[in-house]
Amino acid sequence: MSLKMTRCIVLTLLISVFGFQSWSQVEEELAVLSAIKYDDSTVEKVKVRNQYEHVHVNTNEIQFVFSGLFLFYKSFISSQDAQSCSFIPSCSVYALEAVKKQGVLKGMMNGFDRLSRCNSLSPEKYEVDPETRLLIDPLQVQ
Amino acid sequence: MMQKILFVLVISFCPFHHLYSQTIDETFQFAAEQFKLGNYTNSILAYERAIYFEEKTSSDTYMKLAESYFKKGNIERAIRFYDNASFMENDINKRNDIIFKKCLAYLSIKEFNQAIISLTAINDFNLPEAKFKKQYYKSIAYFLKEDFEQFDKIFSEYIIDMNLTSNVGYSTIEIYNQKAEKVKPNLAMWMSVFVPGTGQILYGNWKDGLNSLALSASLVGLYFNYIVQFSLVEGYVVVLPWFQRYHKGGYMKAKETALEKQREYRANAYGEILQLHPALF
Repeated sequence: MSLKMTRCIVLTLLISVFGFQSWSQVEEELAVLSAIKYDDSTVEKVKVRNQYEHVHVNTNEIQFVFSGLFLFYKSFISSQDAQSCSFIPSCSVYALEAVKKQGVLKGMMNGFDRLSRCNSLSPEKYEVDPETRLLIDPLQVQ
Repeated sequence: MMQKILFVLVISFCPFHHLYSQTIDETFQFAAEQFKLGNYTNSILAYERAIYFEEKTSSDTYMKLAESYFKKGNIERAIRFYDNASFMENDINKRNDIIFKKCLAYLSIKEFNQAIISLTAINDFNLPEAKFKKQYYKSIAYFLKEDFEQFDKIFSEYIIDMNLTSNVGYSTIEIYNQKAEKVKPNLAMWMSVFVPGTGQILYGNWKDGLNSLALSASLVGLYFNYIVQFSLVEGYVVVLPWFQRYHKGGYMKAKETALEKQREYRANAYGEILQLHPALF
């Protein structure tokens, strides 16, 4: 192999190694910069039906109807409102769960009870969810 | 007693002389290995140990330690050691690189003003590459800080210096920024105050706009129905609180929709800005 040829190979290798290093550095830099802000703007919004998994689990027609009503309420009525429920899970989620677990009558009664407690004058003491600052009150059924 | 003496003698003559502690070079080697493997907790410990025992710590060591902290997500500590590294470094180019990394660290924790201040330490006299990168980082900091006036000023200087005025990416950035400036969140809000849903429709959210319009219209219908069927007072008491709730929800949503649209344009512009990194030309 001639000296010229050897030089060429060595030079190519050097350029590729150093070039690759600087390129990966730039890529790293760009990755950090793109993660600072605006990286969530391209994330598609989750549809209402995909936000609440339990609406897809229906064991009879009544549960199916109530799940449909819940989805209608969440899509067309609740979506037009600002955050107004004081609890987590919200009263509508709670009521649907109650209907599914306790049946229509008892579940609706439980749901109305929850609605009557959903105000700042409610005397009960609840734990506060640190993330949402809402009162924690899950459905408790034996 | 005899047993104790014998034990001490045996221990003293045992061949323990081949055992030795880790030298500084070995610690450095271990730290570098751990850094390469991505075990940043270990590399941090090793570099800290090396710094403790080393007589005069080099800029490279501080730099590696800062990098380990940066990768680990402890940005404040990383910045501290980038500072140490830049003070110890005599080579201008290397020092500039360290400062750029420090600036990147500040940007990553959204300390945009600190990032801009840190760039003042860059020595770009007769160093065009450093000058371009400084301009680029500065414009990014202003963009993220949402000071778009300063961004326009510095970024256009950068584009002229880099000779990128005819670049497609640059014109796209300008278009997106102009579009973002044209978005008026308060106008959308006031439009929805007077005609529910129009603010949302103005910025392309037809579903929410029509939804808000239909909901408000049905509540108004219900209100008149109450007046006709019962009385004016009953209409006020029963329907008005619901109308107020959803009407307010609607116009707040209109403002939100406009802000989201603005954010979308800015995000697109930012994506294009990243494509104009000086190292890519």
